Amino acid sequence: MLDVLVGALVYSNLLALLAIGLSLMLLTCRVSNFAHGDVVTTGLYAAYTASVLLRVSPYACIPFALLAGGLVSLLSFLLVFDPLRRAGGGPVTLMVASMAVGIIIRYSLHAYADVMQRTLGVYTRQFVLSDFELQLAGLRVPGVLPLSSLTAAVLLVSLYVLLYRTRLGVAMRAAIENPQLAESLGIDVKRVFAIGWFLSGALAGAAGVFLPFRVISDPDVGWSMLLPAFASVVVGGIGSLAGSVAGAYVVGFSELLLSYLLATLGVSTAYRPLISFAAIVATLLLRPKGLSSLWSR
Amino acid sequence: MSLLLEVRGLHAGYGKIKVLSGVSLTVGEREVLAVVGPNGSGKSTLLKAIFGLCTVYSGSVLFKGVDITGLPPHKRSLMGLGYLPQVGNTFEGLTVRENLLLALHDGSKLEEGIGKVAELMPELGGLLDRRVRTLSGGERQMVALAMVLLRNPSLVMFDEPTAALAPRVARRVIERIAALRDELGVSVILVEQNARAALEASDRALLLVSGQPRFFGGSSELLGERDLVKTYLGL
Ligand SMILES: Nc1ncnc2c1ncn2[C@@H]1O[C@H](COP(=O)(O)OP(=O)(O)OP(=O)(O)O)[C@@H](O)[C@H]1O
Ligand SMILES: [Mg+2]
Repeated sequence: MLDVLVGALVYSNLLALLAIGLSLMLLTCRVSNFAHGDVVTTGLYAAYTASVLLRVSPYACIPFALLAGGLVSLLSFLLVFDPLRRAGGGPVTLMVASMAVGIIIRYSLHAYADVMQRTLGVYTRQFVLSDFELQLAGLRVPGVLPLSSLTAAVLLVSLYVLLYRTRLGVAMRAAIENPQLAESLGIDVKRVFAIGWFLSGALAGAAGVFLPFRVISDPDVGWSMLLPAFASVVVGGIGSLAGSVAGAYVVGFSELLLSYLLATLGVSTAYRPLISFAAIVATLLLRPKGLSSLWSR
Repeated sequence: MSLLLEVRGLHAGYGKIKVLSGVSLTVGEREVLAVVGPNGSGKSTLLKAIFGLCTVYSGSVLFKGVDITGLPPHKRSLMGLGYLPQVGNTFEGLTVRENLLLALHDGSKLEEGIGKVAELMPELGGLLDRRVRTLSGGERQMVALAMVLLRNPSLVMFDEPTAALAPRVARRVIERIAALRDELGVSVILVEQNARAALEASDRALLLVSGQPRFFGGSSELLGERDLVKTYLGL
């Protein structure tokens, strides 16, 4: 049982890092970005590569994951989503484009995984990384628990401070609400959105670092987190950043606890994705504004 | 009198929808230009074109002697061109203080800016930490005006600042705006439905009809053109 709770907390931390970026991209470009899961994988391989080359723990390579995830996300904004947004592309056009971007990233990573395996001589498919353990309040917990919690907390609080305590953050919220007016006040909306996309990608990239400590990893692993991440956004209330974070913990815990429960009843864990789907459908039917309706009107 | 703004043979619109054809005008230093005309004649579009928010097919816009036709709006704003749109002229989800912060070119001067605003519009002083969404229509309009003035513009373009106001109040606001010229030394372009008040308060006037200029000259001359004002402005 402790294992399940540990798993749920780690999983929710990663979902939170993913969901807040998805929200930010929805707000800036009205795109449901299906490439965001593959940005997670980009961060994973960036940190893994750096850790092999530098002979340090992948945990020490989080900065590489932040950078790689951020850059890939920024490029997708500059090359694809911003031009489409300016040309008047609707949400569906942008979503389909994001699927294409996701496929490009994913198969580039497949190719890269082969190169990496050959040149560095490490497993790059179907691999897990061994974690260290530590004693916490008399319990043995894997290192990924405190480290992913700390990373998520630091990154999310930093993002909050940026958005609500700096001029750049105020400008970003302003550009989201009314891009034309923001332009007219001398805010370079494209630049501000580009920064938002870099940050979204960086957070997703950081999430990737922790995945191989919990699940069998390969170039498709990030893609499989997309559905629960979207579920977090919907459960939290579309358009609410704080909601997305709250939604991530609700979705993360329900998914792991429910599938644990079902497994003890003999139901296959293959049904696990159903929980995310059910959360999306139930929220949209019962409370379209999600958790954010609890604290804002 | 030296020219601040010069628009030459402007053809503009929205993508395939052509709205303005062949509009030319000039605005000098410390001059108030009224833009009048029937609904849908392209007055708002003219301001958007000058500010770079719609498609320009041909013609050019010169500001302070520089051709700005291809410049993005935020650069025009930094050059001293101010624009107060008809709707959506404040950020409703942000506080008054945050709105003012964004209006300043230099955020470090926030306290100084707030002092200036409190002097010009004492009513705003007590509302700084309220979200704009929670303010009255008049208070919002004041926030919007404060935002434009904080930027020390040389030319301010107003799109129907009196749209939501009673006629008597509207006249006062129009006179107030025209007075900015003397108080702050700025030039003003004023798009107005209250044609008579606007023409009486302005130096020059442009009459737009179906996207084409029908008159450009002194405001009192336009008031003297009985046929034009009767047909198009209902005066
Ligand atoms: N964003 C837009 N996209 C397409 N067409 C537009 C757009 N905005 C305005 N138009 C069209 O351009 C024409 C001129 O509109 P504009 O808003 O400039 O008129 P106006 O003189 O400001 O009118 P009003 O006095 O009602 O404010 C109208 O026919 C309008 O339908
Ligand atoms: Mg108009």
